[in-house]
Amino acid sequence: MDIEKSQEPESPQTQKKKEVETIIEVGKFYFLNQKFDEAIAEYKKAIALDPKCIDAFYNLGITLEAISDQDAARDAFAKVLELDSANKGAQEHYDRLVED
Amino acid sequence: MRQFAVIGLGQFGSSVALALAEKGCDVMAIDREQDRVDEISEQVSQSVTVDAADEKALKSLGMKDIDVAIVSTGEDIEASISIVLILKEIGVKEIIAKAVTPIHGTILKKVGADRVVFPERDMGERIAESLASPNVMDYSEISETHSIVELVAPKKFWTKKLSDLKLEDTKVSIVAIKRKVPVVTPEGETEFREEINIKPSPDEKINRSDILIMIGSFEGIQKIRGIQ
Repeated sequence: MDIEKSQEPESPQTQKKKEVETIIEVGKFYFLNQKFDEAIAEYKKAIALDPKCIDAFYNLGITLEAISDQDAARDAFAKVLELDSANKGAQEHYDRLVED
Repeated sequence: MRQFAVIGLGQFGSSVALALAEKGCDVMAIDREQDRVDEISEQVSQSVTVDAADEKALKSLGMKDIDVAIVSTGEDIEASISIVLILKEIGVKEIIAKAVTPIHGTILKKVGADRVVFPERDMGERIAESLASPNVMDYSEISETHSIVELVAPKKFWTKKLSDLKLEDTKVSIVAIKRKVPVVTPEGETEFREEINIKPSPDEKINRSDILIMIGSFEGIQKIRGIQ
């Protein structure tokens, strides 16, 4: 019975979630290797699949801030806060960018 | 430890007083408005409500031991001039005064201010610089002909060594590089850490995330700002 269950196909939502997570991981890999443009492209891909993905917007903000694209970074963190107003990390980055 | 007095606790004066107190300096904060004094009283070592333009009142505060007095009653031109005169008479070692116009600044110097600052003008210039060129993160004039700027590394510079940039003709020196280095936090999040490399070697390669801190002539810096 258990075996049968595990062979059940994943729902489209689960598949999409996994795909988005994988894309974000690839983005992080690029970011950590200082391939910022490639990282941005991955995060944008993740956002196109899931326009409410907090993780993708947050990582996009971090990457944009790292390359001093202040305005775009601020917009990304603002989007995180729109989706999750209690996100401390995004709030800190957003406040710093507004101050600058 | 040097002792400071800040006279006039508007936006500028209170910011200066708080920043000095945060650095552990002894600060006497003075204003004629009780509310302004109350707002800052817990953060500074001494706070006094008094009209500093009143000679008797100011002299009664025992300011002889003050090393630096910052007069930030800029908008009230008459008061700032009187205060500078009184402080000079008391024998305060260094007087820095905030001015709102060039004429006001000239008068303050003439009556004894050792240094005159124009925070609104300076901030206006900085903002204009960063708006005119979004790549300029910060800007400050150090003389009539030279300035220091923080500039996002132009694309043309990426992956190049400093020695390959051939900046000699521009008479601009890169004195430091601010670099945002990607890291993973203990929680597993990606972040970046800011590192500053002072006096980078000629072999240093410029990264995509670098901010170049440069010193040089206006013309030289202008040339570099034009590089994409």
